Amino acid sequence: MMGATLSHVSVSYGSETAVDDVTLDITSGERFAIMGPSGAGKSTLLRAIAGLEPLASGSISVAGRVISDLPTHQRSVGLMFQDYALFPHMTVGHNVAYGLRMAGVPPADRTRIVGELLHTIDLDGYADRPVATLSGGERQRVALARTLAPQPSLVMLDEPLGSVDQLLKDDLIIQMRDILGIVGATSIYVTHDRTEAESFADRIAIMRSGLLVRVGTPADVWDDPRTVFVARFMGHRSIVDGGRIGAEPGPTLIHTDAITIGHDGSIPGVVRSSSFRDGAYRSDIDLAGGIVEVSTRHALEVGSPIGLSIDPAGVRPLLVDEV
Amino acid sequence: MDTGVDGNRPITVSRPFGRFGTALVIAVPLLFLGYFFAYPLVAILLRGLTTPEGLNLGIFGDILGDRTLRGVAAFTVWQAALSTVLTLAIGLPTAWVFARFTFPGKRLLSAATLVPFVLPTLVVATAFLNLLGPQGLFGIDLTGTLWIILLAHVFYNFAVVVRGVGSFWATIDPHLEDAARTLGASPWRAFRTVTLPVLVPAIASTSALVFLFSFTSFGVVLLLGDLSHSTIEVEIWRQTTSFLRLDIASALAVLQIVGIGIVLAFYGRFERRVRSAFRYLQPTPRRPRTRGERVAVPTILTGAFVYLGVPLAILVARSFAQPSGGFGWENYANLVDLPDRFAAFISPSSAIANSLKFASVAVIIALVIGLLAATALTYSSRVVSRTFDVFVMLPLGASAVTIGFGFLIALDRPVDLRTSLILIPIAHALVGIPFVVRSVNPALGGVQNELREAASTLGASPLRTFLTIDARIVTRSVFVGAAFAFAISMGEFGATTFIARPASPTIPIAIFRYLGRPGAAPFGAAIAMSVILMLVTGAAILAIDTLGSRSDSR
Repeated sequence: MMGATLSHVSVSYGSETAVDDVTLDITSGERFAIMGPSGAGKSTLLRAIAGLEPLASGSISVAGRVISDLPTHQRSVGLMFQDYALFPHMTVGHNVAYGLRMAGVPPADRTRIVGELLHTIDLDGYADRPVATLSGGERQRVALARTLAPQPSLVMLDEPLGSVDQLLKDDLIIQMRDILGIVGATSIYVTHDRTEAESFADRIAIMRSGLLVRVGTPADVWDDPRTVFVARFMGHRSIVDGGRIGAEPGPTLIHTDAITIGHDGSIPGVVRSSSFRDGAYRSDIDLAGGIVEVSTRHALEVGSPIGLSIDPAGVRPLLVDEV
Repeated sequence: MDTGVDGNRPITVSRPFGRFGTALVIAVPLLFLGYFFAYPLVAILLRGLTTPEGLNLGIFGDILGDRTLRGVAAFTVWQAALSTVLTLAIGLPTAWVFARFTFPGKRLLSAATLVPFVLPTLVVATAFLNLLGPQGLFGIDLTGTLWIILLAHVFYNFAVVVRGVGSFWATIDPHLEDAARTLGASPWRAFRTVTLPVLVPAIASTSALVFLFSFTSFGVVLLLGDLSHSTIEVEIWRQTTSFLRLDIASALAVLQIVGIGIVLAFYGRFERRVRSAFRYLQPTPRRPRTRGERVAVPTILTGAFVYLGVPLAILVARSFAQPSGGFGWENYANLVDLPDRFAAFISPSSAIANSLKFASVAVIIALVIGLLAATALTYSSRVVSRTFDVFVMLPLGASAVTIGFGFLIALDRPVDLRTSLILIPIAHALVGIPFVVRSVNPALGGVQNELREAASTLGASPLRTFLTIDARIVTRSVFVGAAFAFAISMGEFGATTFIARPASPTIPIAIFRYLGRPGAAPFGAAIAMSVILMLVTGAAILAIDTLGSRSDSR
């Protein structure tokens, strides 16, 4: 089987478990994203797959080959670092060619492949430039090209846009997606930023305290986050006690589009705040069992009472997280 | 405010002492260094290059024609090169461990590596004499061989490599090596193709320093070498004191100054590259993680500390071996009351008293001149400060013997100072001044101009701003500089041999004389005195390390 399989992978630092029994199947050519808050163990997981951190237990196979017992340089797993880690004493061309050199590719072929890759990342003619002269976005692309050059079986990107301007991000992420599509690489993208993960990945996983707590397509995870933590992480704001809205008691997610204002049999609440964001007025309504967010075309008056009705189709029960 | 071009140096320079005061602040260290350093150096050059009839380069022909002297010159370069290569080979693994890893006791061990470096070379020589000399513990006598000289040079230069390369290594992004590994490089290949090339400037500048220290080695070679294993430094001393050939000594000194100049130029070139090199990250050392690291880190540390610790431990142990047999305090008791026939008419207690007196005066001189120089460096224009900086640092590169020899041939004008005892602390202070400046200058330069501006908007005059802001902030680094100056003075040997009067020996001079006497009592006294000197300098290092690291985390 191509792709990558992690089974029961754990990494620990002394008594502390950084990656806790992670099992995951990534299909060949899939773009997969792992997100979670900082310290969740995302980067450690990537480093463990690359062989830069020793496994406490479990095994890893990539492209049908068990790699967890191999040293890093024999794993054929590419890792792009958040700080890019471009070799400062080499030119752009030599950076990109490094993996080819290690693989014993003859110089003539190296030059050709580097030329093609620089063309792909839109940096034709940059081969002889010292890396110190590059802009942030250029560095990012060179780092990607260097990672891709030896055609690794698995490409891993560790916060690849962490140090790029917000304005550039959207373009770069699409660019990266396309480049990985062109070369047909299986990839894992790690980020703490939900929108990056969503725009990049076919499937996403959410990691917390070393555990993978939810895996699925971005749409699935958004629709049914299953736990309070995932719901909050996906940007949901309307989480209330189900008992207040006629559902099962316990934490409950209400999708914003399932909430309408002022119908019969409505649930009473009070407007806590109202402000304009992303094309509409967002108001927090206090239901005395939690806050829900409604979206309106006009501002609501803070402190005024309001009635809400909720479409049961947009209600999802949530589990409280164990940790 | 700050353009960031040159650290925190403000663009607009406030002058806390007014124009006249600033001139004075520059003039005093300039005159001091001019008369006590530059002038003797020029005198050596004139003495070496000229005769009353004019330019005389024939003396160099004589030197190169003399088989012994040619051998000395060749050996000087050869042993320095070997010492450098060996120190790198032995020091780099430890530099790696300190740069990349955390482990229990790291701070203490890091301070411990510094001990051999600041230890007086004479104590190092005594320790190796005790270990591998004619009365050595293992029954092997390596004195008069290249090996014992190399062992001693590696011993005290070890810290130069660990600190010099290690501190640079720590700031190299560990992801560079990780990236190389994921791109298919084996650990060794990743080191060779990525880490090593990035380290080159630090390795080169450090090598230059180690080479320089070995090239001008005096105490170690004097005690452990022989006529065919001798350095130019020792030969200058021998030509002066044994043969009274000041012309040959001067010419040798000129040769040595040329050699030092070449090495310093090399050092400066790479030092600049080190400073301007990318500083990617704050160091992020971590615990050893992989199986290989868990074996390598303790092994390297153990090896390093056996090498550094054993000679010193055995020196201390030997100091308790009594001449009359058994173990006890006899050697130390002898320091108070050593029979004259053993002591070569040098009373140990008066040597200790002399050393303390000279060191106190040397510290005062080094502080006054060093603080004025540091202040001048901070408050003068960039061009002036660059030039002045080089001038102030030069005594560090000059060898001890050059300084002592220069005093001897130059300081009879305008008044004959050569018999004055003040020359001893002045010579010691010359070596101490660069340390004072290097300790104080960063702290003074690091005082943000905003602080001064805030003080002046709150109503402080320029002088009061200096006294209440600058002076307060640098206090701790002044103590660091003073501790350096003290340790240097206590252990200084090369220059002192030229200018100490028989009636006013210092501790290192006394150790040297005792070692030259036959019998167990003087040898024991020399060792006991070496231990005392080791403890004094060790205490100074501890003070430096504690105060220094606290002022870093200010």
